[in-house]
Amino acid sequence: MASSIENNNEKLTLKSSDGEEFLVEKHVALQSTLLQNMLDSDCSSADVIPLPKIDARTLALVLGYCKKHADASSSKQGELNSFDSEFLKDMDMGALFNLVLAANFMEIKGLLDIAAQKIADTIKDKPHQEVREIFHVENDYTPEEEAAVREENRWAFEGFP
Amino acid sequence: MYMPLPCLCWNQEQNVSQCEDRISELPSNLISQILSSLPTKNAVATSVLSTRWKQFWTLVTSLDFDDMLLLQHRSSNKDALQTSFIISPIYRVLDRVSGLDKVRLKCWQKYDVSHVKAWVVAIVKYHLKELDLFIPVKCCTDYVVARDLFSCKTLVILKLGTEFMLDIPVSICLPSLKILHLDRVKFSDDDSIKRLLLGCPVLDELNMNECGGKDILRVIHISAPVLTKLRYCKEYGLETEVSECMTVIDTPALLYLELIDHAAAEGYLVKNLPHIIKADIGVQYDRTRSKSLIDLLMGISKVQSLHLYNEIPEAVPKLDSELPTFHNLTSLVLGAGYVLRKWWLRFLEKSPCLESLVFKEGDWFDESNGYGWDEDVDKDGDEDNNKDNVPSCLLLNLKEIKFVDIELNAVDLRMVEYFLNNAEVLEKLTIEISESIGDG
Repeated sequence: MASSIENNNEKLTLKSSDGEEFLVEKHVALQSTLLQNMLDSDCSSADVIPLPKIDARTLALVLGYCKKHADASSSKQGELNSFDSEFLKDMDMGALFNLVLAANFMEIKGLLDIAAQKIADTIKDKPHQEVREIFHVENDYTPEEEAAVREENRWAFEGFP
Repeated sequence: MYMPLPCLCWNQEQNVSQCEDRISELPSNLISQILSSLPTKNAVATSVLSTRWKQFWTLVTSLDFDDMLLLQHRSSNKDALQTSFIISPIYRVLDRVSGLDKVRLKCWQKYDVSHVKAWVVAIVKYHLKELDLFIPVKCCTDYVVARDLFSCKTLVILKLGTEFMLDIPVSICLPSLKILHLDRVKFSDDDSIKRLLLGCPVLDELNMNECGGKDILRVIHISAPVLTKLRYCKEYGLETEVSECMTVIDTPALLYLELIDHAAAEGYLVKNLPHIIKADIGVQYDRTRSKSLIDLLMGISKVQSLHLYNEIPEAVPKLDSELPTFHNLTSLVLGAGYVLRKWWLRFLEKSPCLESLVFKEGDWFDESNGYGWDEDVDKDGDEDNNKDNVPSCLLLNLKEIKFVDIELNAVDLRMVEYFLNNAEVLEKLTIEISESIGDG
């Protein structure tokens, strides 16, 4: 693990929306393009960086992901892949949305990709009523409107109830 | 007392309720990414969720059509259905989306070449990064002309198939292309492949699976300056016919090579592979053209990890006099063709740094092949008792020997005995019996 840490053992402090502070090694923080850009500009690493949109629980998850990916050597791709698939397993929908928004805000592409894919997999091949229930989407179509939408792209609804 | 509630709050601290519709509130780039990760059919079908979702699917930047998915609920696969249920959705969707990065079109039915041409023209005008077309055509002697495709400056990944004639224009400009897969594509002449590769200056990975020519190609020239991965599987010829085609591989940056050829005749001219790490070679030579195998092995002699699973041509007289020394080879996997002791022993002699040796494939101990202990070597006297004749890798480096996926009762104990007697630094000998009976 130590081998991939750069010669400077710099750390920086991130502050979650609910006020919790996280001390993070710089090479871990660099997994985030947002933080990378901040550090590249004149932002000093001594400052506390506030992340007003991310709560402590989500930030802890995000930093866990970043640490694993920052510390793994490139030859351990297989290990990272299994870490990724375990990482989101059994995560509830609320946590998953917090995570995808955090990854989007902090610009962590790998995390964003797996979280978005997980949401897509939840939609895939499910009847629409079930998708609505899982995501609490309220169907505000009138029956006539809904029928018109189905008719407009009839090919896409073949095989779906 | 626990009362089942219609919805439960997952995080009371923040008072964020699980029953909120959070997906509809996501920023549009996330909605786009989620819908782009779905087959296009599923993405379009989300329009029925609610009025807000009616247009969300048009944000997709990736299209993924599979005609199996579109046809599976139809009772009949007649042409008329194909037209209305596959071709028209593609155009409808293309009509509505604004920007595309990636298009995948996977077909199982056969289509007219004219459709393929039209799709390529319709798709290429988006500045795509990735295009994957797998479409069997009805009449495979018609050319697919795709000039626009071969001047697409943004394209990074291009996968094309299958079973159609591809017209390669004189001038090709694919300056960003890193990955090229061609599956059973036919070219009009020898020069096409060379011309295509010349137009891909940064190509990193090439996979040519059973590609061929309109007529028989004489020379296939694979020349690419920065290519690191090459998989080349030769077209199946007629069973009796041995292809007269010569394949020239000139790729100075290559790290990984996989060659599969069921009937090589003129063979392979492999040059310029100073950095090669791993090679998988399954090339069956015509019995009379043994020199070609030696030439091929010469070309890859700098390799570190080698898997050989061809048959040795009978006409190879004495491998030991012509076989190159594999100075960097640490890992060797030998398949069915190397069953005879005179073959594998030669390889051990020429691989001084070998650390790991694997004998693989269940059928190779077949009695008709002769066992792993051929008699003609035994005639040389009791060399087994003389350590001077033991390959140096056995004395110094070989730590692991494995017999993988072999039949029970087929392990030649004389071989095992030989290794146990002579491999001085052996740490592990594994015998894996097929049908998962267990380790030995």
